[in-house]
Amino acid sequence: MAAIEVLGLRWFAVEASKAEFDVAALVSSYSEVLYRVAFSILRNPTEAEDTVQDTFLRVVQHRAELEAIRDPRTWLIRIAWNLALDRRRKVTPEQLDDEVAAKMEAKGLAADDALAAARRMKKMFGAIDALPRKEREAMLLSVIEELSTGEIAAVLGRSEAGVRSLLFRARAHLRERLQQQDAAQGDMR
Amino acid sequence: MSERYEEGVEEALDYLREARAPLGMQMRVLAAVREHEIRGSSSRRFSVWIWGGVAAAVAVVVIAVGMLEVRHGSARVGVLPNLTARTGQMAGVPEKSAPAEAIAKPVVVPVSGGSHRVVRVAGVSRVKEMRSYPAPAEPLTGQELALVAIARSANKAEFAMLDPEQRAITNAAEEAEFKRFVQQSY
Repeated sequence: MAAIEVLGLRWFAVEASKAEFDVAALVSSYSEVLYRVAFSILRNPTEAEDTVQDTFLRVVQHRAELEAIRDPRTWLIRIAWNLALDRRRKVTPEQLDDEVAAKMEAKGLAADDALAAARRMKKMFGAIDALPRKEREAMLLSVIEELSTGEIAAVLGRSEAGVRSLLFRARAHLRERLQQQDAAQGDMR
Repeated sequence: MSERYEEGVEEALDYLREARAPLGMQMRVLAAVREHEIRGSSSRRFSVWIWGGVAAAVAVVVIAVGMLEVRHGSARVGVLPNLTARTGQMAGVPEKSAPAEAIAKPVVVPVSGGSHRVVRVAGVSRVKEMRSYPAPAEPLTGQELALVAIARSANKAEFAMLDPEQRAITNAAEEAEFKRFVQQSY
C-alpha cells in the first residue's frame, strides 16, 4: 500500500514538474502578445492580466493535448481571445477606458490636452464598439503587430481574403459612423 | 475631413497597439499556475484515495449482498415442503393472521440421498415470502355460481329451500296436504 502511495507521489511530482517547465516556457514566450490580445478587447490592464492568467490555467488543465497542437501560438491566442470576449460581457463600460487619461499624461501631454485626447479616444472606441461583430474583431486583432493576416484568419475562422475584406469594410463603416455622429452634433448645436 | 477621422482612428488604435504588459505579470502568472498545480495534484491524490475507498465499500456491499442471497436461497428450499404439509391449508394460500414468531422454528427438510437436514427459518422472511407470492384467484364452481345467482335474485322461497331443515318441513307439509286432498277426493 505504501509502495503504491510512493509511486503515485512520484508520478504526480514528475507530471507537475513537466507541466511547470512547459508552462514556464510558454509564459515567457507568449504572455506579452496574449496581454495585447486581451487588452485590445478589454482596454483595462487588470482585466487583461487576469485573462492572460486564465489562459495559462487553461493550458495547465489541457496540458495532455499540448503535444498534439501544431501551432501553440495561434492556439493560445484563440484561448485568450475567447476568454477576453467572455470577460468583456461582465465588464462595465466605466471600467473600460478609465486609465486612458492617465496614460496620455504619462506620455507627456498636459493635463488639459490629456483629458481632451482621452475624450476623443473614448468617442473612437465607442464607434469601434458599435461596428458589426466580425468587423470589430478583425480591426482589433489587426492592431496587434505580431499577428499576421493568416493568424488573424485562424483566430476568427475566416480566410485571409475574408479578413482583408472585413478590415476594409470596418474602416469604411467607422468613417461613415463618425461623420454621422459629427453631423448629428452639428445639427444639435 | 476624412483625414481627420483617419487620424482619430489611428490614435485610438495606437493606444491599443502600444499597450505593454505590466511589470511582474509573468511572475504573477507563473505563481498562479504553480499554485493551481499544487492544489490540483493534492486534490487528485485525495480523489484517488476517495475513489479507492468508495470502490472498496462497494465491493464489500456487493459481497455481503451475494452472501445473503446464497443464504436466502437455501432457506427457501427448506420452507416450501413445510407449506404443502400444513393441515387443512391450501398450498400457496397466504396465512394472513399467522404471527411471525409462530412460524420461526426449525424445519426438517428432506435432502437427496434419503437423509434429512434441519434448517432454521426466520419468521419475518417467511411471512415476506408468503406475501410476495399470493395465491391466484380461482374460478367459482357450479354450485357457488348457483348460490350467487340465488342470493342476487332475492327470491325468499328459493333461498329458504337451501336450508335442509326448512326444506324437510316444507316437503312434509306439502306431502300432508297432498294426502289430505287425496282422502277428500274419495
